[in-house]
Amino acid sequence: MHTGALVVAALIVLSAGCGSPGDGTSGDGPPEADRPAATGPRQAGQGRGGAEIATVRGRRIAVYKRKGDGAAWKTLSSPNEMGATRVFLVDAKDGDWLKVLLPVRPNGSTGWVKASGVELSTTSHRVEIDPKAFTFTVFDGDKVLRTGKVATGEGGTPTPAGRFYFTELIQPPDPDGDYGAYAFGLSGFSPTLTTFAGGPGQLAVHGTNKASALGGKVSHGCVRVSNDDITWMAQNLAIGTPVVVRK
Amino acid sequence: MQLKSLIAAVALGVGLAGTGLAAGTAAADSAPPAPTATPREPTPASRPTAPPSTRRPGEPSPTHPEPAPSRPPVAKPIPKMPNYTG
Repeated sequence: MHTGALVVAALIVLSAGCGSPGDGTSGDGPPEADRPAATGPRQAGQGRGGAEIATVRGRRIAVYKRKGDGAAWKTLSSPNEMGATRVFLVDAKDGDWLKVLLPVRPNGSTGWVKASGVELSTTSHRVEIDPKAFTFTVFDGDKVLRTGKVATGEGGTPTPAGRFYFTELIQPPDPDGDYGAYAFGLSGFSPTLTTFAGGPGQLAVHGTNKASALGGKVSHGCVRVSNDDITWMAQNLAIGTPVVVRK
Repeated sequence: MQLKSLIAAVALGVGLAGTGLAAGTAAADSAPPAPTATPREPTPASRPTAPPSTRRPGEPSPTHPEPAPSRPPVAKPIPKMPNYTG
């Protein structure tokens, strides 16, 4: 009896020694980091590759409340009301569908569009506006490209906080006028003005002919920057660039 | 007598296991970089190099099966009178 047990023990020692050559191939498989990522719905947002911008291919695009819906919720034209090719900021991707930030009221509205109806591009740029400090910062990833002073909305017509994006770039006929040299339309709207100057109360980031007012609450909701800054933005940023207005 | 045989068997087993471990460690530490079966000087085509690549130059890496979206162009200004909230 003891003899048999000892023989078994010897065989176990033998097999253990031969089965562990130290090559690391046995056990539970490759480390977690080496495993391929699971596929499925994924958040786009401002990831490693930056923000994704969806540019509408045709003359209009159907927007759905939920992906896979049979009937469209809205149909948006392209060009948009200001004459620019319609773009969306992509929030998430799921197969052939894209969840996008919509340039409609209420601010922050999202919908789903078919990926086949848009062309995707990626930007690592983003603009952050700090209304408390009255400053803007343009980032390229983590790198600061430019900072400057802003003016924001006054008490009755505040600049709302939120995540927006540039919808078009307008060049006013008079660079010394109220809008300065350029105006980037935003995907957001004034919370208090439903119309303004014949428009729908759309917000913008634009230049100014009153540089001395920068650093204060003086606008009807738009974000004003210096003409030098808006000219730099016009020369360096794309339609669809994310713009975050902090609280 | 049986006990002596058994001790001998165990000793043999432990010895073989140790030999296997040593051989495995040695193989891992000093793996020969090239086969020795062909003593002649290898031609450039047959010179052992990196594993053969199935990708052509410029082809996207297999770790990124989806083509990366391009960068959007800088905005093109539209001459127009704005009607933003100002």
